[in-house]
Amino acid sequence: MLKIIQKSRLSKLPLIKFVPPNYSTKPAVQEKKHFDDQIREFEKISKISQKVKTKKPQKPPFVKNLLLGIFDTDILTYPELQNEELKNLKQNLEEAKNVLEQPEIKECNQLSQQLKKLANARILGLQASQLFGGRELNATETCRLLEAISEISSKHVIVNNESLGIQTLVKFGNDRLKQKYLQRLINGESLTAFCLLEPLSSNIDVLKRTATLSSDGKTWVLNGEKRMVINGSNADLFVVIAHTNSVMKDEVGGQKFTAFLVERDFGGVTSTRHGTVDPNLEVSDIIFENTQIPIENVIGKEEMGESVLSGIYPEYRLSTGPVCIALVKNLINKMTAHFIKISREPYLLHETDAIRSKMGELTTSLYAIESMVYLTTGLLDNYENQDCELESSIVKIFASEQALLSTSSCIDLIGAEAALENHWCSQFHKEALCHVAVNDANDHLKTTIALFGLSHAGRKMNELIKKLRNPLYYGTFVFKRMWTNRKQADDNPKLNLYLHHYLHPSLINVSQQLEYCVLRLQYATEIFLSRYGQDIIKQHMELRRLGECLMDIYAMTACIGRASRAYCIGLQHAEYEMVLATSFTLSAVERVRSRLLKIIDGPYQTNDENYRKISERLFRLKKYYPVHPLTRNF
Amino acid sequence: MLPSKIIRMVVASRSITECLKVMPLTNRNLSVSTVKLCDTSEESKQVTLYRSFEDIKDKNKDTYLDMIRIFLNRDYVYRRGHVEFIYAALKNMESFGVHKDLEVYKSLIDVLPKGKFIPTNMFQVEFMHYPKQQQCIIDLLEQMEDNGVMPDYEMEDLLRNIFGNKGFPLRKYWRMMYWMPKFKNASPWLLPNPLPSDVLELAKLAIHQICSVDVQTQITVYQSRDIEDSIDDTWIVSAQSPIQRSLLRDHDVKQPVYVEGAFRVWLKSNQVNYFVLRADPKPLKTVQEDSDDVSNIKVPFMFNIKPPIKKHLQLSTSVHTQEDGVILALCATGTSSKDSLLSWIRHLEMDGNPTLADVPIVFTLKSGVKEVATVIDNEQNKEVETSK
Repeated sequence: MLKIIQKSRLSKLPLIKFVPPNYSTKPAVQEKKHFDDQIREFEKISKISQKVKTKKPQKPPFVKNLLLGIFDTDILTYPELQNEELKNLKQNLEEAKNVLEQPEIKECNQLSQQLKKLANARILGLQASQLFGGRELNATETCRLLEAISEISSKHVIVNNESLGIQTLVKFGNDRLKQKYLQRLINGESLTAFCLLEPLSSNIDVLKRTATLSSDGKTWVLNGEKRMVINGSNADLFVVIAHTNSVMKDEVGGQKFTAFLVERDFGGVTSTRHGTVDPNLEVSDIIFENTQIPIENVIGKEEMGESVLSGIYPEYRLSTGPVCIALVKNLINKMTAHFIKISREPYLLHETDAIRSKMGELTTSLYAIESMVYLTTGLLDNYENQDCELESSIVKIFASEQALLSTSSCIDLIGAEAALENHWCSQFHKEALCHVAVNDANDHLKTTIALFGLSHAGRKMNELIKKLRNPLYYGTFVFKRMWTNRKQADDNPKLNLYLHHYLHPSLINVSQQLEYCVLRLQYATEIFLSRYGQDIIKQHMELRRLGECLMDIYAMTACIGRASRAYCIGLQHAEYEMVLATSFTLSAVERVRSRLLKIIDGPYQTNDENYRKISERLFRLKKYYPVHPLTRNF
Repeated sequence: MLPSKIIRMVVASRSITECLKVMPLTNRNLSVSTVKLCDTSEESKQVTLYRSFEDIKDKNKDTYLDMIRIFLNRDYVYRRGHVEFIYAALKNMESFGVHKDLEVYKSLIDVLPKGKFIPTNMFQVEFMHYPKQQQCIIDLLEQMEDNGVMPDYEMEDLLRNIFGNKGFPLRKYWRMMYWMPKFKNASPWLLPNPLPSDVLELAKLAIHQICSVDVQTQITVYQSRDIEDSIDDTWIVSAQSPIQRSLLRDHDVKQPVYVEGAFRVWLKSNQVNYFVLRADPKPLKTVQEDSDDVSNIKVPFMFNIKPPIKKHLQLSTSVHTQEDGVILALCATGTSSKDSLLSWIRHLEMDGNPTLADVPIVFTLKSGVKEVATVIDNEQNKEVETSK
């Protein structure tokens, strides 16, 4: 591609050189126009700055490896951009902010009309090729711009359009599709919606396909319903993940999915709009009825739906990060201003511990979110095809969860006023609620990340687990292990990862805490796997805990790495970054310690079995069953 | 004729309430001459008129309490024969329908004099002061327990006033008060107390109880008259869960399904007949999985909204798939007749089980209220036809 561009650039350069002498004596209205076109073309092409992206070879997945007790110390070096890149990014950001801060865009509810303006500022198609007018940014730069975009009220429209619709085309679309649709999207002429979720179906419907190939083999016919589609009503392009084939093996069905690009004009598309808690977020149910899709509109290849999803979703999940950063940042700034404003002598609220401690917590959690987001983007950008499946999911969960916690604690702190419907704090709260629930519910993601990690760990630990599960066959091994693990059993593992060698020396205490967590995590994983074997998939309570531990450990790593870098190179407020990292680590270690201890102790020494029992009865009786406290028996 | 004789006759012939009007006048006479008057050879040795309970025609709580009242009023100075009276009364409780009535038990205990039986020293306590009387009340309490009647605090006061704090009946009472409340609500399928007398309600309770194995079960009440050609006009309480529905949908139409019954289920002392729709058992394939092998933990599709569960290599069996058959539905009908069961099948067919139109249905009824199905080939074919 680049070669062609360079060629065209070369062929056009002499043209301009030749122009002045030829046309100097003639009234050259037409030619001038032609000349303008040339210039525009030239500008467009000359603006293309060749981006050299040399990535380092792929690394083993960081979070997955934590379960094996392997800590990749390279991660402690917080990723940074080159000076050149940073300068460009700053400039891009300035331009974008100028447009985004215009009131008609900032408070716009119907963004469809304003899309053109955004397109002119080149805010659409951040990662698309420059040939189509995109910016060809990497993940880090995209996140930074998304942070700016998150300031406007209809950010959901942009973010979803960008990270789902456009990204699908950028990553998986062939040249034809890109030519036809990507250009339109980047020019702001179209808007996409991503259709994934379907109404809950029973076992039987597993065999029901949503899309079938017509008899002549030229079109796909789509029938079915998609739920909770963001942008569903405004969009005219739909990326639809449809069920196209089923594999039957021993009466157990598996599904195959294909991704399609569907135009609204293909016919048979009806959408119903639903409001959500967050007034700025609207979702729709979309029904496709005999929608004819030409065979060229298959994205990627047939039955490649799952790989499209796994290619798109990590970065989509990651995009929750910048959105939440903007949210919490605004929240903190407003809270600070609020307390300064309402403080009166002698009640200087901002000097009380009650306010200080809460605001400190808020700042710490924002610091953690930020550190995680840019650590993950750094991993994505710096290493070839890096497996960031878990990392990006962790960012999504952590960011949205912390945002929700922050907003609810702020409502508590502000008091009665915050309960008003239009109070800024309750609006933040609603938005945070939506981040937690929409698309991937956090709770489900937590168990899933734990499972992905365990499946990775299981492959490596298989031999060990087999021995641990059959202690009578491996007597000596078991006793040896009891001896070697005696310190672990005391909850006092020997710290042999020496993480502080890779950090600023004053972070030694904190890094040892992190080390403790990683080592305990490995021990807990071994015990957890050996306790349940294959059945581990059903232990959702412990999986959830493990997922939470992974989150906290990853967050600690990010915070410590960032603070250490800041302190070493002497950034502004670096010493406070050290405090922030320390405070986050201390609170996270507490959580990790108690959760891992619960996993190690098992279901009977924790509350798990009780909850299981309580809810078993609940479902049998189908309602809250304890009798009223005033009931008498005789 | 002596007045007491008159009363005997009145008691035998008329309702007690009427005779009560005469009583105050004749009280004194009665109290002195009971023994003499009961001169039939067997009754002559009886201190009390225990036969009188059997002789009453109109047996209900009022007459029962009246009997107690007669006994009390007959002899309120030197009252005798309490024990015999109480035993006689206990024996006849069920026929009066008062065996579950706490009030009646209390008024029986109240017959005993207060204070007289209270022991005054430790030896009396140890050697069961007035043993006959104490044993009598213990038996009364035992009967209460057997009938599931829980005493109350008033009864404690009564017993304390009669036998004192150390009496055996009171100890029995305390034990009862410890255990009975605990057992009262221990049943996993607690029934309303008293049970509804409507048979339909009972049938609903019974079917509900059986179907609690699958929480998704839907219980529907059909009317058999909604089906054309049905002879009976009765209700059908039918239960089927979505799992059973899908089992029936996947059923091979060449294989017959059976309507079996009537089986019995007991609700306290009431019996309800129910029928099941059953298919032949499926052979269960068991695949041995090495649960120690963690090298290949399959994580379900990440974009699912359901919590992950283990994927099995074969179809998982539900609670409805038993060793002796696959239970597809359950019902109880008002008449338990074959016709009503046929209506049930038709209702099921219309209610989301279209497969039933094609599947041969065999009625293997063990007992029928109206007719007994005999399982011979011709009969079966006929039934198959009628069911279609």
